[in-house]
Amino acid sequence: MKLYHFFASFGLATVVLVFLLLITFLGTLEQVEHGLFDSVRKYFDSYLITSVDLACCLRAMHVSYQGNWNLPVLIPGGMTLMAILTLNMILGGLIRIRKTGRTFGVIVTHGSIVFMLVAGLVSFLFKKEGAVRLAEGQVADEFQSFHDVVIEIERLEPVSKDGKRVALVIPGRQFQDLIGGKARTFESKDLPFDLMVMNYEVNSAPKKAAGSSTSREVADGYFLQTLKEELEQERNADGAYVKVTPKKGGEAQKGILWRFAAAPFSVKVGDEVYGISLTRKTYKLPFSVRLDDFQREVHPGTERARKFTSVITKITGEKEEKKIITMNEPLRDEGYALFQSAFDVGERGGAMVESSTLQVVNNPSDHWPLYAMLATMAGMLGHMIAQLVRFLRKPASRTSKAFQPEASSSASTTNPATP
Amino acid sequence: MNKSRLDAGVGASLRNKRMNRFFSMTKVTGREPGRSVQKSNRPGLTGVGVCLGLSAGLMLSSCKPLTERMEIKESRQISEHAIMPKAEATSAERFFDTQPPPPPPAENPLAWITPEGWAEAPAGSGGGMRLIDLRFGPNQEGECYLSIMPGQAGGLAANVNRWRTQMGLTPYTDAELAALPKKTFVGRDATFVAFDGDFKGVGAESAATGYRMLGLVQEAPEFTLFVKLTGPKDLVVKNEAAFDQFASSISLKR
Repeated sequence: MKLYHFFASFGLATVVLVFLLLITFLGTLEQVEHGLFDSVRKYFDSYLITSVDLACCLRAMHVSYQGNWNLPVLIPGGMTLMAILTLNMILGGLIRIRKTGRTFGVIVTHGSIVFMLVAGLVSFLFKKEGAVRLAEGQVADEFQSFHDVVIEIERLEPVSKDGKRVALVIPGRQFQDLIGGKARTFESKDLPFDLMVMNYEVNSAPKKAAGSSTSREVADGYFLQTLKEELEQERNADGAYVKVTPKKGGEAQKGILWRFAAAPFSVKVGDEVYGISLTRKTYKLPFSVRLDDFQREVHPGTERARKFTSVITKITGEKEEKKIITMNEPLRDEGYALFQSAFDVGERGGAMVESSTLQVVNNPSDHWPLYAMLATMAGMLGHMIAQLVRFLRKPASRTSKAFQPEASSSASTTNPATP
Repeated sequence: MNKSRLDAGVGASLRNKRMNRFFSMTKVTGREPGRSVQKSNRPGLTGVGVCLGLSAGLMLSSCKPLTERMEIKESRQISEHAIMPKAEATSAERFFDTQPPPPPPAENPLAWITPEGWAEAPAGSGGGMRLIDLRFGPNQEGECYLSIMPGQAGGLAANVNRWRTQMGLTPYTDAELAALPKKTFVGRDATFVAFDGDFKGVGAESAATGYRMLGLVQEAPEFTLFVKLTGPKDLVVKNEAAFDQFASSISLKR
């Protein structure tokens, strides 16, 4: 019972909100040097925060400090705080609260806040986000994640008789820890070889070994040079070394995987050629998109963009629909939202071709925060109007007492989150 | 490297087996470091044994990834719209480390008919300004080329007199220059010259005696065209008709 009272208490809610304020403050400061992705991961996608880069925080507040000051701490992370806050809201704001007509608005408000927290959890667990780049005339029905890394293995030769292409996928969580000499071997009954992955680099560039003195491992005349991590995580060019060992014996082949490589690392085992690539996770779209035309409008006399527009055709089976995606006007269909993100002009087959990059988001709880906000607003508004009506109905003599100290007892009955 | 560390660790552990057995006969029971300790002859793990055990454990755990195996469980069907990657690309191709292909040689904007018995000079044998470079004669000692210079290129007088100097002749006066004959060349009038003398070309150490030079200079508003033929006098005389035929055949490609 004590535990129930503790988790339903207003004091706990206050402490959690103070911690949320603190981690929001620290996370905002740290993202200046550590980048948004890493800061969000450290402060909000975590259960426990074990250190704070105080030097970075000071510099972010324009305090001149050039040293390193990593303070070891134990602060609950965003996930822990959100979980406690949800529990607190359910126990204190929905179960323990006195359920009368007077408290209806407050209950609705608490319920909608819980719903908003659940929406955040659903988004965290199931949201897919990435981008698809299309040249004019090109069709695509899949998009690549911004952050999730995978290694894909595909048999390139001979191609399958039915023309279907299948790739074996190793998720990033299974090899991103392989830094500083660590290695792990991956195997599959569908592969004639074992694949050892080693020395994963978050940001790197392949360099020719000839003419440069390096102590790093060299594969086919190249080595991976470690680069400083970019603030924007999606700009990092990760890489890794791999070693392919044929199951039936034979010479092992070493190679380098690099995210921006023009082609996969090819290995020949028997009569088969396999391509191994380090890439971003690919998601399937429930429909195809063809870019018919990309239109770019600039402000007169300048190169400043005024409007980017992608004229696309949405293809579902035999059905084709013309759609327009432009800045602030995404295409929302079948649970997916496609936003105009970027464009570029490149050469293909000797001709200049315009390309458009569309950001793709699939979030089951896409509109839940909006509904939660509307419900919160309605609950609070209802509660305030009810309070106002009650206040106005009271006789004048008692109304004046409403501002006296004993009025606090009335407030306590209408503020059920204050046990 | 990790494997060798593993081997070293296991080896060290085995080598120290007897030592461990010896130390295991004594047990450190003191609680305060640096103070007197009691010793017991009961068998059990000693501090050294614990340390060695922990070290071996740490080494084993640090070496774990090398021996760790994992089955690939995920797969996906690749879209029919996805571009098939190039199989067996070289590392240089994969890492954009290839030299760009040399640009194709610039197409000659001129068209002409090479006279019979004449031939194009080997590449690089003439200057970079030569759009057409031909040789003739039994030993290819006759030379005829067309060059182009931007603007007036010093003017007609300077160029004709430079050629005369090469032939060991005195410069023309203005009146002599004005009296030079004209021939139609690429649709316009061009000044024609013919000199006999001892030819000393650019960079030559000595003059070649008994030579003859034919030349055409056409001054256009934006450039000046030169056609120059040199060779032993007898050979040049025999090829004067071929020179006229060559000059009249030159035209701009459409």
